[in-house]
Amino acid sequence: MLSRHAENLFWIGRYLERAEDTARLLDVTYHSVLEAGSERSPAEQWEELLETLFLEDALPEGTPAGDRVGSLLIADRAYDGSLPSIIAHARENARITREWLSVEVWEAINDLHLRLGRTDLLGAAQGRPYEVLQMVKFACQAVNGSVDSSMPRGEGYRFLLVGQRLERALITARVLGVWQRRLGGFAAQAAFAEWVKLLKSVSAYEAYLRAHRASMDGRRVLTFLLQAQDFPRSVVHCLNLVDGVLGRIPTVPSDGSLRKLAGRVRSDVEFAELESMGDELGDFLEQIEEGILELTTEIERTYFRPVSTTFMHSYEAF
Amino acid sequence: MDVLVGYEPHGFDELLSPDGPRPHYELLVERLTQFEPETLDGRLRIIESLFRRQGITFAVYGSDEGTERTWPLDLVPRIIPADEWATVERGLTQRVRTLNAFLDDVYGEQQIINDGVVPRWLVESSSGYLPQARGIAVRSGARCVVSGIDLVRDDEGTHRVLEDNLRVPSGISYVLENRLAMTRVLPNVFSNYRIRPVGHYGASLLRSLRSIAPTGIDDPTVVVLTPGVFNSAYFEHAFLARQMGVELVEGRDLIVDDHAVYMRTTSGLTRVHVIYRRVGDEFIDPIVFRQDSLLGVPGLMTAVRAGTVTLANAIGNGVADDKGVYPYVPEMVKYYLGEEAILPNATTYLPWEPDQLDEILDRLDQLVIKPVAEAGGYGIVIGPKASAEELETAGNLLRRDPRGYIAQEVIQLSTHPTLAGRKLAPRHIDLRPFILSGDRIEVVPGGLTRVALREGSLIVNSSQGGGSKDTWVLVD
Repeated sequence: MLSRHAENLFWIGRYLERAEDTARLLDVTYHSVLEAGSERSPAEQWEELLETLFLEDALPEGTPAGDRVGSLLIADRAYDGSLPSIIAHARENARITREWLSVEVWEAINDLHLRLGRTDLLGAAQGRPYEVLQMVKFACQAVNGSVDSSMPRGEGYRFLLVGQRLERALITARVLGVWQRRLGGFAAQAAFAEWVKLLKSVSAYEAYLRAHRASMDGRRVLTFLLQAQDFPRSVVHCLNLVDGVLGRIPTVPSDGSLRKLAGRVRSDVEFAELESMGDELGDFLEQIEEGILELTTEIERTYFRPVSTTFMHSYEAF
Repeated sequence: MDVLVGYEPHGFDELLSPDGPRPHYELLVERLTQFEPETLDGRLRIIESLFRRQGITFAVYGSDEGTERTWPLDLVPRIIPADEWATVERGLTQRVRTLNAFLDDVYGEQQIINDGVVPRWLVESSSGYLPQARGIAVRSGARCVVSGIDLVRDDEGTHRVLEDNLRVPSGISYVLENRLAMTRVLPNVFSNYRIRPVGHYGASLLRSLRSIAPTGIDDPTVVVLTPGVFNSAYFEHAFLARQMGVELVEGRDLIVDDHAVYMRTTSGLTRVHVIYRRVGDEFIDPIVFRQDSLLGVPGLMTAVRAGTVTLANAIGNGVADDKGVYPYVPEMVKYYLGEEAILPNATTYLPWEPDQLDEILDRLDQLVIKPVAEAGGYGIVIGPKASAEELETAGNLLRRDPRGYIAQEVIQLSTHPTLAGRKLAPRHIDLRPFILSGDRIEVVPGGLTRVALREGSLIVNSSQGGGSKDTWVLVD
């Protein structure tokens, strides 16, 4: 398939995942700030949200974060990291790549874009954000469902999937990294509500409870979110899938360097001895983030910008 | 609703003759009578949301209401009986065959010029004439793979050719989408009519394109080349790529190496044999034409010259749809085919003939003045509706640049019942049929009927606020 189309599909996957994650993280933050289950100030929690989404520069320096962060991310259509912007980007990529998407997938994405267009987002952000956040989450999952049930398992599907899972792995790793920095690691004591918030940020609360009963233990939470083979948002689960899917897209040249990198990043996570890590855990979590970003860059280099343009020798004027 | 109460057309109306509804419309009138205006209004809304949801939109340049508008479809279909269509179809086939022959000649031996039928200066002064296209042969002489020939009916009901569109005519996607939307939203209106289908267009287009691939290629690769997502017809480009199951590429996806064209794919470079390009001539190759073009492919013309890739439509077609060349088409039909033109032109005057210029200037307020190289309804001055100032400007332009314009008698386009609020009103229409050339010529039944939604307006272009109608050609 065309490199440009592959890249667009990759980004559709990333944008949709990012929209869903942004909506979920917003929801969790609103809830946590309201309930006061956390001992940390609302401002700190809003800052934490921005850091998790790689949006530390969202506010002008020196501006205290507050629920204005919610309005920015829900309602500011001019801001690149906001839900309507992310969905607009996904939709624009889908529009350009329509012939690769099934009618159902295109209409589901376009429909979400149009619904956000006619929703009073600022009113929602300042009133009842829950509904619009829920709407975005459900709509993104509906797109995923359409992708699963209506797209042929060709390259287009694979690139979309790889983009989605890389983004998901990145966010889960990031959530853990931010926790490590802000709450002093996974051996430290934290309020029960903080653990709930962490797990809910990546939709893992009930899955974790089922796996470990109700025993809230930092090391187990960390292990679960990094290494659970059966949880679809754990870092290793995402990277397993990326590794497997990449194995089914041939590369030119076929020197296997991309697979090697994917395998290395995955096994770094899969076989890490988390129990024995002390202070180095912070560095380790950062390495995982960097590994995922490196893999993303390598995918772009391999598939999206494959041809050097050194062909300009053969033009004769006429 | 009482469909025809208060319906009073002035000139030739497609539905209503002085003796009552024409026979092929009787059933439709009966069907429409069963609808309440509210119902029709509701159906219109459904279509609009259907189109919006599917992204069936077009961009309007210079409007700030977003850049996309949903495609306006009127609910009252236009019906063309089989015998009437048979004549139109023969006329269109004849005209396209002629125009293909003319282009092949102009970029080849130039016999028609040497024989003095079309003046050399006229051809060579056409902005659509590209000397770079001289000597490039096209298989089967199919230079106009896709043509859109705009037809209007005058006050006697005669179909006349208003203009030829031989470069990158658009609109076919709306023909197909209109039909689909109508069958979904007003299925009961169709009953008892037998209507020729249009849904096979993608397959026909692909067949035509493959038939002109460079010789010796068993399984040619066809692509659609689009200027990109910001082009007003992008929806159509994507639609056609989907309908044909081929790649939709932009200039940056293609690369020329050693006189052959390749596309950049996830598994390296893939050869391309036929490019259905929706990019204008001047943008197609920045080395040969406009150097500031980012839409084209550097070196593409070397590949075209080497015969490793076919462009559809061919380059340089603009010389044949130049409005200054248009008046010569009936003569061309005689010259190339030895036949009389089946579809007459509109009566046209040539400002570069001194005696005709005088008459044009005398009757400026009665004529239509058109720039020869524009399309889409841009730059037209309609004498009877123009202000004194506009007429004076037009007169000055004609004197300064007579080759740049033609003048035509005003044609009172036929009218067709069209939903206007809660009732039907007569609105002017035209027709753009689509004709495919390849190893044979194929006319799509019907075409795009465009309708001027404002009362009395003669401008039907969608860029100027026109609407469209589903167009039914009946089976015999």
